[in-house]
Amino acid sequence: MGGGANGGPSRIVKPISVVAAVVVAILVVASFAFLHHDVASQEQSLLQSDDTQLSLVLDEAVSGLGTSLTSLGEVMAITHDSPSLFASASKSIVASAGTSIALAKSTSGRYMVVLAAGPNFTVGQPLSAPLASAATTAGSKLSSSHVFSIGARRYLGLLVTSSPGTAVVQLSPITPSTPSTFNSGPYSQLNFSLYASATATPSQLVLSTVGLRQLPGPTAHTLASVGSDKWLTVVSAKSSLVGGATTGAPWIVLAAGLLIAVLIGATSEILARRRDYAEAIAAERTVELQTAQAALIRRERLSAVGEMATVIGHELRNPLGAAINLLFLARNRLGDHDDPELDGYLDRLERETNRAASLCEDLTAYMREREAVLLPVELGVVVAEVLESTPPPPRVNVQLGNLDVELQADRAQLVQMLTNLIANAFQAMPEGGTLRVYAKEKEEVFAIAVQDSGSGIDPAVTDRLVEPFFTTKAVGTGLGLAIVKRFVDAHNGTISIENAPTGGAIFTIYLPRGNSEATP
Amino acid sequence: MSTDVKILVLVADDNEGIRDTTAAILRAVGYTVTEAPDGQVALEEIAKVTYDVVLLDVQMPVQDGISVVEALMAESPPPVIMMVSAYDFDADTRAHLNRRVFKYLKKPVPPNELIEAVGLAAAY
Repeated sequence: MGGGANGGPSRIVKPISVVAAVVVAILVVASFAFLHHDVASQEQSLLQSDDTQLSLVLDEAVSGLGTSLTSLGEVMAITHDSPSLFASASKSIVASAGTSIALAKSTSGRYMVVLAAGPNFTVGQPLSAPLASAATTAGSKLSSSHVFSIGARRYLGLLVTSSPGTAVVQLSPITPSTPSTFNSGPYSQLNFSLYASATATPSQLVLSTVGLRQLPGPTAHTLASVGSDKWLTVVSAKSSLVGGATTGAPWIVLAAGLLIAVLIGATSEILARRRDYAEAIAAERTVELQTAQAALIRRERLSAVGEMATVIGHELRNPLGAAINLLFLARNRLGDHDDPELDGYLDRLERETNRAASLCEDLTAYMREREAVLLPVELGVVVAEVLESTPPPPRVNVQLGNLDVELQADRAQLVQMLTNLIANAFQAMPEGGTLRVYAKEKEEVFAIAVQDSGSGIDPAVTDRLVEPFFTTKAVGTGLGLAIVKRFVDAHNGTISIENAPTGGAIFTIYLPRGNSEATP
Repeated sequence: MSTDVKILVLVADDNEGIRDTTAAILRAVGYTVTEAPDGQVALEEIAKVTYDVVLLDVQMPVQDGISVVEALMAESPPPVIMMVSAYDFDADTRAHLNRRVFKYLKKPVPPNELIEAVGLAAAY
């Protein structure tokens, strides 16, 4: 059976496969988006929680510093601003490089430095504007100034008013451009920025783990109270807070899901193609069955026709034989006479009777169930014999190829086959032409070709030519080629009918060289 | 052919049209012809008279041509037997009857062929 299955499966991917893959892919992407969003929410929630805790820590630190500054103010009030006590009490504070501390008192609306330690305050000088401004709003709790510059350095002031009109001010240098290290402890996994303002104003940056850069990734913001001011803490995670597996889960879902989508598409494609293939095979088998059934019906019909033909052919032989005999007796009785018209009638009667006898011969020959008796036959001798009994009509040349070969065949059937083919060839050339008979010995078959130079065969009827009673000739029984086919079949051979490139038809019979099966 | 030496020919055929026209042709050329409508009559005739040539149709009622030949197998010639049939003779039949049958003729037998064949058989 042809592997084609009617043109073979299409190379184009089936729409159903594409739809299946796309639907699964859409579901996968939706799942990914949902999971990814969920993980991001969890991450943000953890970050926010950490930031809140950090701001609480900051609150505590601020509160502690506030208490120590307030204590210093109160000690100074009790000791009437003892310079020696101030110096010893503030020693630990100014030990930190660049940090200064001062006690300032409000005199006619201006805060003047009364006691000072560290590099940035001088006794008797007024507080600088940012600190003075902060002092006017400060209370008993620690409050702060804005970040401001003195020379090239940046400073932050922290202050309390220990009693009305008296402020304790600590001025600390800050270096926000230098990343703070924050590598141990519970918040080491965080990046952190602290602003001395309620918004992330770069000029108010107090400290940051990443210097002046913006914190990378998602951030959480919390406001912490420093006296009446609000400070902003901003955190972001150095690495995922929910854990690598959780962060990776949506991506794993996406990759695995897309792979599954592709597999589903491929499986669907394979199933669709297999179904198509099976359907094509089923269709092919159906056609084969229908063809076989049609052939069977035709064979049965032909068989019935053939049997009837045999009976008719046989039954006609006796009356025809009697008629031929009677014609002979009539001529014999007439003896010598001079009646050309009567002779003409008798000649025609004889021709017509012989033609009827020949038809009977064809009819019975066609249905003759006889096995081929294979014996060595000299082809050249058989062809010469046929041409002698069926001589070429006028204006027909005969060209014989090399026929000096011996083959295994049923001699009588071979004679009949060649007679029929050669007689057909002659009839195909009513205006004259060339008959060629030649043989070809091949590995497994022996080919005998009979070629005429007539008008050729209509390709539409080629297949029907070997059917009994099919004829394209005005006069003919339609049995000649049917008999050839039958005898070729008896030899387990084949017949081919084709038009020659140079015009005319070629009838070739192929007889198997081994031919042992047909040998009785 | 000499008229004083009678050559006896038996024509056995169940078809009257064939039988009597065949006999008429052979009589016209000088043979002495007897007719038989079936195989049994043919055998009775052969038992009575020694025929030179017997023409036997294969398909006949009562007893067919082949069984007539089989019955004559043991007898040494004459007569010379010729088989006539509307059907082909298959190879087995030919091989079986070969020793006893001089020639096989196919119906319808052209009169000239018939005369020639009987002439050869008579001279055999």
